Amino acid sequence: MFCRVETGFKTEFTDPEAEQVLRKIREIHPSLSEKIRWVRKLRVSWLEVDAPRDKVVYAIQAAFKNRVTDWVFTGDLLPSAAGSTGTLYDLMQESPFRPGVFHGIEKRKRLNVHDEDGLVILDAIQTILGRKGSSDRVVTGELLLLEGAKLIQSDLEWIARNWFAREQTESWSLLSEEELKRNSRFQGEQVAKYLASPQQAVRSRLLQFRSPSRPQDLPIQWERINELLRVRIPPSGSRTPLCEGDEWSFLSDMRFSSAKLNMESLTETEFQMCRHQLEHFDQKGEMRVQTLLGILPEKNRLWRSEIEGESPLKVRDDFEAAIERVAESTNTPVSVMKILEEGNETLPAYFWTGSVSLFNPALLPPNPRENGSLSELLFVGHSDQGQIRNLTFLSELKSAFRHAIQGEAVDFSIHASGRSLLHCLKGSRAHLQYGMDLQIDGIQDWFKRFFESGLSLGFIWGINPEKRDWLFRELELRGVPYLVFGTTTLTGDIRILEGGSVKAGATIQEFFSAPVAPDANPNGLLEEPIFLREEKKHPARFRNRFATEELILKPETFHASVATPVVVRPSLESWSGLMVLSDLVDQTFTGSHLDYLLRKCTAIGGQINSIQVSYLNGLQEWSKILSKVEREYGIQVSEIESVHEPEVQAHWMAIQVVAKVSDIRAVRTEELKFVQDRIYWLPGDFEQPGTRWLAGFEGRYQTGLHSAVAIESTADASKGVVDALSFALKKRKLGAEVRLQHHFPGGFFVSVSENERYAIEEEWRVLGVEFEFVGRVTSTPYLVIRNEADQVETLSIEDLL
Amino acid sequence: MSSKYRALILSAPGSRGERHFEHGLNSVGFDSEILSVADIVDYRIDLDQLCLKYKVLVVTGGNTYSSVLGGGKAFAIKMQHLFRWNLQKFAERGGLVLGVGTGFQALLQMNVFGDDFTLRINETAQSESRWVKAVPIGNRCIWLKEMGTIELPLNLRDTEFVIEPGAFVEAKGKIERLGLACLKTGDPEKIIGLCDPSGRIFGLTPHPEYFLNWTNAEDWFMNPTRAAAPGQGYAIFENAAKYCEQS
Repeated sequence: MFCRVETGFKTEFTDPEAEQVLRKIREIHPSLSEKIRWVRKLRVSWLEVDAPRDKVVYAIQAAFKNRVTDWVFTGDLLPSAAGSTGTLYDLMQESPFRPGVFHGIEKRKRLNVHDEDGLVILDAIQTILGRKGSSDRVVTGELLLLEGAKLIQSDLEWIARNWFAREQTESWSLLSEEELKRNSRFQGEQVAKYLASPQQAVRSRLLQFRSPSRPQDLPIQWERINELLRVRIPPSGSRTPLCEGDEWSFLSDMRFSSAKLNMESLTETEFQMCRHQLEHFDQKGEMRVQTLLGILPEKNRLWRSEIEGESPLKVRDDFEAAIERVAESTNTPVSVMKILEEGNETLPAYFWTGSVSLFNPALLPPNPRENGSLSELLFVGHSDQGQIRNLTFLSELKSAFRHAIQGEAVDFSIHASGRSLLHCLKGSRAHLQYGMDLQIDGIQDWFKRFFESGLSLGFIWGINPEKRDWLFRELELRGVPYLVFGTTTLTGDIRILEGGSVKAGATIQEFFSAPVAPDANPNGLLEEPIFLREEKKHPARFRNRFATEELILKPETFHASVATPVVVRPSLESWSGLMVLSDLVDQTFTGSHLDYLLRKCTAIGGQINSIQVSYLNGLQEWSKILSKVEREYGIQVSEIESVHEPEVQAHWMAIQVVAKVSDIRAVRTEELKFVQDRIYWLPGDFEQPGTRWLAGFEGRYQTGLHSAVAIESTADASKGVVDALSFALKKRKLGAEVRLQHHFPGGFFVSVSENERYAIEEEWRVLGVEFEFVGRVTSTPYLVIRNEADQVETLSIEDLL
Repeated sequence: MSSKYRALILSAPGSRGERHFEHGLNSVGFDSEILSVADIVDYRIDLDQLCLKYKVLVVTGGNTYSSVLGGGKAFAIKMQHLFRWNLQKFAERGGLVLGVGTGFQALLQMNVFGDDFTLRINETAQSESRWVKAVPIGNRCIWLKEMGTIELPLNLRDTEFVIEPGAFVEAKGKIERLGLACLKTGDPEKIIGLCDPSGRIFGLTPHPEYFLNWTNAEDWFMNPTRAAAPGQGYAIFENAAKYCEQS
């Protein structure tokens, strides 16, 4: 049962809270406060309680009624608890200026916002009723009742926006005097409006959609349609449209992640793991390797290309080789789909990843009958965007799709989501090559709009007329809306008919002659990532020719995903975080993923500069999350490219976060600079916590670090370690006293000041970072080494170099 | 003084001063226990259990349940509908009840003193934090036996005591006749405390638990020789202990 409860002080009593509102307005906006002659505040609750009416009335009475001071307005539930008329008119009588001009401003907590008051009220009501209903809900708010003849709408909006409501968590609306005096706002539908969850709201619209066809009052511009039949249809809006559903995933039901299928997959363990995965999913179907290749511009190829001559293309080939090897052993055929091929090397893409999906031909509709047999054209789906998030509806739609194919009712299927009707049809020459008639008699208004604007979610099916009735029954059973709007023909023409006469038409050649694929929008494209536009600084080089982060991060640059975002340092002053997302690997993009990436990029005092995003069949949902980030954090989000490729059958997104770090040079150099600094050894390949700490992934005290010198693993200490130390000490002409009493298998020498050592050592212990005190920096240019036999050896730095 | 009498200090989300009550009651000889609303449900303390185990029930004040539905209302609903406690019956069986601040409001919302009284928000619409001087009226209230003018700290938003306008004369007469108004401030005269006809259930807006020692007073240093003396709030707890000893 839905009900609305308003409580306010009786007219005998003053309303101190309302007076307080007036005082505040007087302070902020004195001229406006002069227009307000009287004010009252009421507390409002919207309730949905799953209980009989008499019990709800009892609960409201027990919870809200204070006989001495308050009136409770509930419409007709508790007339005795209100004044003589049972409406706000009783309260208005108290106003000194009667009849007066009254206004109302109402605010309420937005859905999905934590409503503490609502929870307490709900708890109180459930306590009184003695039971908890699963659908019980309460939303709370307030109603400000104002009297002022000179108050105009903009004044009320100012009060609502600037003082009364907090727009981030509360929505508000203005109520006229008539509305205040009537009790229509207590009606169930009005109350339900503020309590309905998004899914329920969508459901109500779904029912509306299924109602019998309504009168056609939407005029169709036939000249325009006639023109459109012969020309190429431009993509709607200035941007390439984003896809609005995951309809492609209907085809590849069996999916799994290839997060580990890269170069390392050639190792035996990885190989066995992949093999296990494939065998597990082996359905005698065809595997498809979905490969998304991102290529760094030539001058910014940080990874292995510099020395080893390997390009990302080679990495991609390795990946495919690995897949083929695994597929051979599982006896599963492989087809490789390549996206962003070599020809696109100039595009500012900078990531690489891949996935594998199982492709089951049994789930595809059969090829169109070559003799051009007749099919009826049916739109199946929904005009409401909200249904994309309605998992029940999507699952019903999927189920209907499979069922229809198994029942051989569908000759062909065209994915219609996000594209206009003519756009869909123009892209389906194979199915419509002998002609088509669109019958628009009896179709509904919403469908007419889709001649030009995008369809929200659904398919266009060519159905076998013999199976028509069976299919409609199946669709109705699942609550999936459908609409017959035409047939394929053998006339060689595309015609739009209304009332038996041709309203618009074109020949097949005219209709299909214009190219249909939308171009990527060039306006939003950047030539290259932002950080490359700035003057390239020469990074500090260590003796092994790698900057620290490059060395540390090298193994991870092969693959980026939500699970393993990559943070690289393209220059000394910036971080660059990369993340690739695809629904093929069942990754749902949420704000927390982005938060994780942002945190990574703010290590060592990084300031986020911008976020750049590329879509391949991007989802609007993702775009919304990024817009929210832009809005709430003030970080600029640029869309670099948005490619629409339905054939890819997947949605991809790549995000790059660019952060500036101003003082990284001072923080981390290869020089040992300060006398009496303590030198530690941190062992380390990438997997070890020490190197992760150095890269700023974990910990807070990296700023206390004076230098980090990468060392190579060499059997001869004097060659590797001593050389590294000598180079580090050379510039400042300093020396060091060190103990080199064992073999150092790679890692770093780091120097830390005496003051910072306790904090840093403590952090290392907490994070499990292995460290070993090696020695101290001294002011004389000699390297004093205590060796394995505990013998002291003194070497001049200059001689060493 | 023996500690054979147990006191229950009832706390709720947002309540304050439980530890002060515990200290005050323990120092006059009670064996006090702080239990939350959830504890009462877990231990299944119904009216019989309450009467059996405890001699004193303290309903604490503060901002219980964020004062949604009015101060103390949600707390009162819990006691009435969840615990199903009838405090008048508890008092009839010899129990003592003290409600302080919002706890007093909760007692009023439970209609322990009749349904003609309530507390409402003060004119500033803000929480008042000051000391009030009050005079006990009548000798019915056990908690205020043999006490003169007392001064206690107040920390509450809903401080205005309201009598139902429709039954004003009758209700006022009832208070005068039965001597229910136990504490009155001076000028203008305001009721800040009320007890029931049995004298065992007592509610007041100021907080005696915050004046257990003389040094709690704002100007105690004006009279430093009394620094070691107990505060006036302490006397209220002492009266309860004396009553339990005598009964």
